[in-house]
Amino acid sequence: MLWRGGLIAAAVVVVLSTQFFFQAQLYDVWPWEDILGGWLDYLLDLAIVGACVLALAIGALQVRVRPPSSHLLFLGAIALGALGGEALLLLRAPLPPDVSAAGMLAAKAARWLAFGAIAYAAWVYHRRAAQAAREAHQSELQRVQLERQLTEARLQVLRAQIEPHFLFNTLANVHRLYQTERALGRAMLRDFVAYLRGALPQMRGEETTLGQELELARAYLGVLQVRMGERLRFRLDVPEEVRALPFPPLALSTLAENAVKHGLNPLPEGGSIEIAARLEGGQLKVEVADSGAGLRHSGGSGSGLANLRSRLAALYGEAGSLDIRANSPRGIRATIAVPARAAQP
Amino acid sequence: MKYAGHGLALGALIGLLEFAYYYPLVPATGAASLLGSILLPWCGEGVLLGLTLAFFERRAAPRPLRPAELAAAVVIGVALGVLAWQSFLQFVLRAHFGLWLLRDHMGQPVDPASIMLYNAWLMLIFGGLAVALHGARQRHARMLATLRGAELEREASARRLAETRLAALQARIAPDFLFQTLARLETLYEADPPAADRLLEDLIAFLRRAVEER
Repeated sequence: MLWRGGLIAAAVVVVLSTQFFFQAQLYDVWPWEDILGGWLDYLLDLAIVGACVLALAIGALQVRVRPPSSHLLFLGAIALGALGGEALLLLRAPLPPDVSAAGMLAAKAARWLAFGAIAYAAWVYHRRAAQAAREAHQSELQRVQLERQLTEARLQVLRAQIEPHFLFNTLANVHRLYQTERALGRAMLRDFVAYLRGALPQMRGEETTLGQELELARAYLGVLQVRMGERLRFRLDVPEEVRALPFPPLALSTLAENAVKHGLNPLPEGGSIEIAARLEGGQLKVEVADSGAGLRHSGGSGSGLANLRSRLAALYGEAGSLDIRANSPRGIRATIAVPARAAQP
Repeated sequence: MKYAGHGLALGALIGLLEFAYYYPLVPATGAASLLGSILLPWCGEGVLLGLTLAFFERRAAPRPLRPAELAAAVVIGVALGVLAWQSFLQFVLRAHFGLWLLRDHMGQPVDPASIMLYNAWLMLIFGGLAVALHGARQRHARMLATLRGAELEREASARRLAETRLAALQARIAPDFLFQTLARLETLYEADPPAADRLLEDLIAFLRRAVEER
């Protein structure tokens, strides 16, 4: 405060002192060293007044009162400081006897006050503008945060919605099977209830492990197997030690769903699905490989995969990825990679 | 017009300060005559400065003037205002029509060049300050508008978030309901198959309606 105030006051004093050079008659009669000396003398005068104004102004800024009292206090301090400073100058160089000292002091203080008032007003507006800019920035940050939460909430809505066709087909199948093959119908209903039981926590966006996700995928594929029979074969190859690792909800089911819907369903002979998981360089890699129709035949918009990709990015950033490539001899191999020990948010 | 008014106010302010300074020095003169002879030059110079600034600002619109442009506009406005108005005062009104100005009251030889130089300096100082104030006020207004916009957007985001959270809650009800119904269906198929059949048909019909509404 003292340093900055001093610098500003010094700059003001120097700027004001340039008035000395704006007197044309000087250059007609005075030699240059006298002009310089006169300027230094004038500069000293201004410095004395400036110091008085600065001292009182800094004092006024220390007083904690609310506007508009603080403004009045500051302006009063400038006027008082100028009055005091100019009075000191009168001691240095007395006025001619016929000039009223009070009038002269008032006039000079008024000039300082006008100058100070405009500068002060500009400074106040400048400060308020900076404050508003900070608040706007803050508000913008909060908005971005809200948008991120909004994305999360939208994902929750999506997760909570069960694929309607899966639901219909399954229930219609259960209904028909109970009329014809009761045991098969019972098995399908049991698998379906198991699937829903597993899916419910995930739909609520709660934390899950790879083990839970595998059970969910198994139940899902079990339901479909009743419907598709020999056209769907699947195998899970997941070591025990990775089952307890956290895993994003419904990610595996999305891949299993895709493998059936776009891979095996278009083929009359169906195919097989293999799910495998392994640890590799601190990363948990889970792979869903099918022997289905392959990349070229995967119709649909791929919005499920795009969703999954953005969810992985939201959860893990660069460390999470979804890789999709062709499987040999045919089909698709989709791999999800996530950090092996990442604590779920 | 607004700028001419601002310039007039600035000129009047400087004129009054000058009057307060010179009045004790020339007490013999009438106050009204001295005040007029001081206000006339300053107000005219102020108006010309204001008009010059308005011209520059209109040329740059809609963007605000950059600080360097503003400084240049002030210098040009001051030089133009002082030169034009003082020439008019000194060589037309004073020389031809016998108008009295400050120097005449002071009983000193009149040198238009030195008067112009002095006026230009004072106008530059106060004009520059006034322009700085004007710029700070405009920036303040712009920032307030930005702040209001940002707050409105934040409110909109918060509202959308609340709506989506509500939707998420509502969407949860469907799987819960479905799960409970299916669990009941499982036991009912053991106890009373025809009733279970009817329940399943009802459920399928209900879901079809619900999905079609979506």
